[in-house]
Amino acid sequence: MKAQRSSALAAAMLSAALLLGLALGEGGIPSPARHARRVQMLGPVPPEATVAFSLVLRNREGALRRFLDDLNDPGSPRYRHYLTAAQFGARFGPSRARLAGLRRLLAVRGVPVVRSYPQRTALELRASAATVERLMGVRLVRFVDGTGARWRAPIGTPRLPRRMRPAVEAVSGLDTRPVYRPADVPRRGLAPPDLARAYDIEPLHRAGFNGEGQTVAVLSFSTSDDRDVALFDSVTHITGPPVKRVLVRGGGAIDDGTIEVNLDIDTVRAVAPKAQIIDYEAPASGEIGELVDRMVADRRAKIASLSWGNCDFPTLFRPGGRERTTRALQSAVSQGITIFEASGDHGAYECQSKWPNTAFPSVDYPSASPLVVSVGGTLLSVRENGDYLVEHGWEDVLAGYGGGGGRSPIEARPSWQAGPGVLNAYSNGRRQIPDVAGPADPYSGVVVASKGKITRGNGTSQAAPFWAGSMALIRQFAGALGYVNPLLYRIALTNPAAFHDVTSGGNRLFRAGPGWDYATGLGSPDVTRLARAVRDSVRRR
Amino acid sequence: MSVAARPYAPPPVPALRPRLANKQLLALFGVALAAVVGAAALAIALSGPGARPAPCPLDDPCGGPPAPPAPPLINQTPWRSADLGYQLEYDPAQWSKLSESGSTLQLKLVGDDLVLVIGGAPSAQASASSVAGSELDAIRGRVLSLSPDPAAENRILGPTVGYEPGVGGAYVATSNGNAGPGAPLWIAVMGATRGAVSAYAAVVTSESDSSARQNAYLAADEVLNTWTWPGG
Repeated sequence: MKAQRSSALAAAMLSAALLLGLALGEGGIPSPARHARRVQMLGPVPPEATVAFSLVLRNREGALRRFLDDLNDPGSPRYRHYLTAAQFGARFGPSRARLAGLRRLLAVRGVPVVRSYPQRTALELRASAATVERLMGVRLVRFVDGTGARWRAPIGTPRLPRRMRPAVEAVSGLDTRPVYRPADVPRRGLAPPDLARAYDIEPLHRAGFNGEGQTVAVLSFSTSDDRDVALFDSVTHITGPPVKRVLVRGGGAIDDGTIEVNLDIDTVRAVAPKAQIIDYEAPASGEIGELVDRMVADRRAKIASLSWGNCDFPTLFRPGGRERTTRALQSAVSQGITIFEASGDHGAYECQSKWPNTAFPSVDYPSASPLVVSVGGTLLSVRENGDYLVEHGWEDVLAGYGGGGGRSPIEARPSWQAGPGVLNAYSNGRRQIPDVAGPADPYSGVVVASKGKITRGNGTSQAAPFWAGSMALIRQFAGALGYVNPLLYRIALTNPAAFHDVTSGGNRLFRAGPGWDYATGLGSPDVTRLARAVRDSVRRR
Repeated sequence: MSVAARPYAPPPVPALRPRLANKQLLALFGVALAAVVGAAALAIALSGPGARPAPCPLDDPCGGPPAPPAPPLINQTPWRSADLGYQLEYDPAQWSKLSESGSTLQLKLVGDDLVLVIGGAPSAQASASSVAGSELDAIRGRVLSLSPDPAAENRILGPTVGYEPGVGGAYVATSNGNAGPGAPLWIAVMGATRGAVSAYAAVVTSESDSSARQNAYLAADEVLNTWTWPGG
């Protein structure tokens, strides 16, 4: 029996490797054998071990897609008619009766629901490994890879009992392999430019717009130490509300991703010092959808910064993970929440973050989703008095860094993504990123306090919170904004001076040029001008 | 941002006429003293580090006509090709200058074994490929067994010089020491043309640790990203 099980597990190892995205196609992509050797099976998950996972709830997809189109279509009577989380759930989620039935079926099988969301995107469940294996018809196995990362994953495809399936689209969270990674944050960098001066934030600050009354969510798969925020405040002479933390599934740990959390918090704080920052923290095994769902249910933040993502390659996502994240992002946009997401730091070759020896054009997910504002990178140069001089699309061609940008392999280009430069020789009907850009080159680094030290940030991980902080000021000045991405494209048409159109540099493949481009999108903000343009647009509605 | 306080020089006190009575003199002196003190306080207030311009309404131009733009900030050591006009900046704390000519500059990364070489020629005489090829030939003459780098992760994707797309590649070789073959070398050469100038940039390093090599390359990228072609 033991031998049989071992051999079954060994045989299953290859299929697990396939599921885990280790077996890939041709074209210089790593061979399965080479990478499978790096993954070791540690053995079955103990039957009594607690397993947390999610059911991604089936929604009314067609109606939801029509709603999202109308929401962002100025010609539609439903234009910018945002919903509360509960309204979203009632309209597009499973019915109450179906949900209650699902809960009963789960309870009978000893699987309690530990959390649900008013937007009815997912149910969080917890049960023993033995119970989960019985429920899903899988075997849960523990793995470790060459880097020391440990996770569990199911052997076999999870199959729910037939009666549960009408309400459930996917199962997420059985596979806990870490897939999301922060954009790289090398410790190098030169003196930070004065962001407020260069990007025309000073007039807003002087007029008293410092983020008061605004809440910005930072979405993280790590955590940071409050003492680092205090150190940042003391070095930069900032006083603002203490950062709040919401721990999702126990929260993250101090680890390699900590500097990412520090960078996000400090950059938002540098731009909008009086804004309330809430750091939603999940462990590395978590899904972006979990963070977003919690933020949506909380109804506190209308602006969020996300600097974690994954090369948009199908096998790199955990089963159910992409569905989970998409559902959550849909509910966020329906509530009028804008998430600024880093576009990645490997230029037009984002999958090099996973496979350094590949060279196929690729982008980050969820940055490539039309449900977020994708933020690319620039290199900023200033005048002697700190005024804006010029920006180049960020590319360090020798070192292999640059702002992410390109075409989504999956998502369609939304109708609102339009304007000069959008339709170009590379357009193929897919979503094009980035939407905008901000300072990202190490030379444009901002001060960050992390693990007790002052350092400098860089990467699109810095550009995304820079935009989130700027948008907090703009929201304070202009009023409620809703999901701003469509508005940004319209403003670029009607008031181009609100953006610094970046026309030189690139991202290791695409060149920056007049209008929208794959390296810097619409460009970086002249924040005060953008605030005025947004306010005028909001008034006209 | 702080504004340096300028030394304050009190305005000259006007000479008093002798025919004024003592009382008048005292009164006049008092007024003058008050004016001086007031002016001093105002000057100190305006030039103090905490001074901020009066807030302008966000929608109205204020503060007089816009000042002419300040010159670009140059906080490193600039270098300009006397012959061809391209220029760049480098941090002298990070780079030491090994040599220069009217069109070439050779820098060494302090504390790291990496040399950055830039140079060029009029584009009427040489294309981007030919200036890069000439530099590669020059390197080939100083090293042993130069060949394309077979490691895919070392490929130079999107080679540029001064943000101008061009040609380039990664190579490996062995250093040619006095005692024969020495350390392995990693080499990258790029060339590009804009207008009347073709230029190249090359890096040569013996740094075998790929992570350290990437950091050294990043330092070279920082220099190359300051590049300005003649005419802007």
